[in-house]
Amino acid sequence: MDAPHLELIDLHKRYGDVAALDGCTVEVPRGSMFGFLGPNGAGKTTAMRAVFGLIQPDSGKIRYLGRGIDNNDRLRFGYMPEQRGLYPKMGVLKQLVYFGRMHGLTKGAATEASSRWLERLGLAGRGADKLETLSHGNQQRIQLAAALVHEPELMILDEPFSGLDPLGVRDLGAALKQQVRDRNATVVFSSHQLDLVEDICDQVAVIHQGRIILEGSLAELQADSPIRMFEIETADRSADWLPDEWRQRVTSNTRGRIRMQFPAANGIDPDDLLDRVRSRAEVVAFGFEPPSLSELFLSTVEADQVDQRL
Amino acid sequence: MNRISAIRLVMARELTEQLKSKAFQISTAIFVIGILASMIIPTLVDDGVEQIPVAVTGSGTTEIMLQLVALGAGDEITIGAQFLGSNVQFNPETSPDRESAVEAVRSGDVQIAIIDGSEIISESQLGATGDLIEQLLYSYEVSNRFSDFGVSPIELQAITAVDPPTFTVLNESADDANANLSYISSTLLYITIITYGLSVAMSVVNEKSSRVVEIVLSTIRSVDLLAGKVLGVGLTGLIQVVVIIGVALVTNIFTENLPLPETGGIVPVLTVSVWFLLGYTFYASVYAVIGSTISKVEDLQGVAFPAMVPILIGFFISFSALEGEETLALKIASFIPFTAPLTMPTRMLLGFAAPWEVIVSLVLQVIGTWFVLRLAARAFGGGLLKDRIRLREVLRTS
Repeated sequence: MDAPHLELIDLHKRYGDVAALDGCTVEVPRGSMFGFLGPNGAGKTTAMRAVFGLIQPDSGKIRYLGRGIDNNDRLRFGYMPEQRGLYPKMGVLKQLVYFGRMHGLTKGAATEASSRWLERLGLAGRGADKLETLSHGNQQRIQLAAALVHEPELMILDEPFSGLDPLGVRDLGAALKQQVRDRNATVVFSSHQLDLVEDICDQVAVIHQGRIILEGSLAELQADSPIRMFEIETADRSADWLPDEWRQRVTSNTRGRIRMQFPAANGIDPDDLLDRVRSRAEVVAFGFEPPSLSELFLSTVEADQVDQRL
Repeated sequence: MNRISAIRLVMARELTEQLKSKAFQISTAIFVIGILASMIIPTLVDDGVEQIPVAVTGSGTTEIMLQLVALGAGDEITIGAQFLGSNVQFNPETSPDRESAVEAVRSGDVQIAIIDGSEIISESQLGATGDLIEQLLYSYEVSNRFSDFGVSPIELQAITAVDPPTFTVLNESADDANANLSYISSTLLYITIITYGLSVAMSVVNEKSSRVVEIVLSTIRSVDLLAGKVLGVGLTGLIQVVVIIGVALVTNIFTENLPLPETGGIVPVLTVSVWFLLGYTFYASVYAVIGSTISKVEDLQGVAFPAMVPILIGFFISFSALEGEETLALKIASFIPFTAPLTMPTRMLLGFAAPWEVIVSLVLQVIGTWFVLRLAARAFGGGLLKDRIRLREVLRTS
């Protein structure tokens, strides 16, 4: 089997009393759309910065194709930091060319690639304009182009979807997937909005307090999950019908749509559950499914905290 | 991409952005206009001749009038012009009597009235012009007396025509020409070192405040970013220095009012350029580190001030020496890398510095600059991804 495209091995990084990374280990397979997920402050940005040598971890290793990483390897990466920024007063085309050349492209190749990107983004006529004269949305697009202009084989994007509307999320997701498909490139992106991106990534690593608590393909994680979600909506949209022993299973109640968590073990049968409700109320909608990514996250964090308390 | 091309890329971007900036274009324009104005306007004014109308009456009118006209046309005017500070020409006219001559002065038709070759009347104090006329009347009276003894004015002139005394300045190089040059040089060095040092800091802060620095640092080392910036901005500064001096030297071909040493413009141009590069590099790396500790341009003035103080001190020390006196402070300051770029050029241009002193000072400056560069290279990366960090912290972690 090929070595992983990128590996973080037991990374530790402390800022004073805070452990930003606390034994973080991640394997990113080549050609994957890798979601690096977790709540704010979980250590995502610290881990990504460590890949580019922007911070030095206190201990641990970062490996690229099974070996140590150097500055020339990093030129084949593309980076979009969480805190966006380009040169506001520099021409759009000029700065794309600049970043292309920073990554080792010749002037000619960088100019060609940059013009292609501007065309793709529908900004072909605005190459000479200063970045600051572009709309916020277009500046975001240029930011992405700056990270991708040199056709990186490994893209590391910190919160690329934050601030985008659902259409924007869909378009950017599609554009990144195309990069993965067309060039066998790898995309690692972080997000704190787990449900927003769960359809986009095929591999995920969920980080919490500097450690990875879930890792693998989303389908596997869901199949392996010890819980199943049972969702039901009755005609009167009330929760009065709930049997007492089910009340503690409720994870949410959205205008009468009640979502509950059941253990997947002991061969639980959705038909039995449904019959039980029908005997008490009129059912208008129901569902039985594996937990969503955020539910997986929450149940894992809770289990983790129980473990810690024990 | 190797490191050299990374540095060159940063340098080229910095250079083009600086050259394109309004700050560079406006300051260059102001310098050039200032130089043209200060060199050309005095020439125009010098060519203008001040006309002084004089009313003459009473005895000796004709001779006095002739001498007044001669004063404005002959060799004596050169002496007179230096004496007065500008060219003057007397326009004498006759007046029927004392009363009407006084009236002409009062009404402003003439500035001066001369009566009987022995009385000068004017509306206000005359200063140098008055002295000149007094001298003229005195000579006229003396030549009259000699005529009484049978010595004609022509004979008198032959007798009194003695060679003027020769005038030798022992310290040839400490003359006005060099004082002017070193005045211009130290002002230019002072302004450009501060300006371009601050430009480097500004460029660092701008990349921090726009957050672009994180992308840049994901591809190149912070040391290479520092080197590219210092070189790019420095090259801009050198271009400005050369343009300014060039304009001054070319203008001087026509106005000839910038007295150059016999060796011509090469020595001052080289002196200023070399010391600009050394002084600039020394301070630019300090300013780059200072810029890396803050993330807002507004904060720059406050944190940069301490690093401006030694430049100011150096400037004032070299300024005080332009009277022609070499002070002990100037001598000492010209060996300290913080102040040498502002004081050693002054000593060199005024001819105070012995060759060995220049060499020692240059060596010390290069060592000092190398030391500061090394310190800056290590300290520079520390603050770039932080909003605000104390300078002490950056230096300690380096």
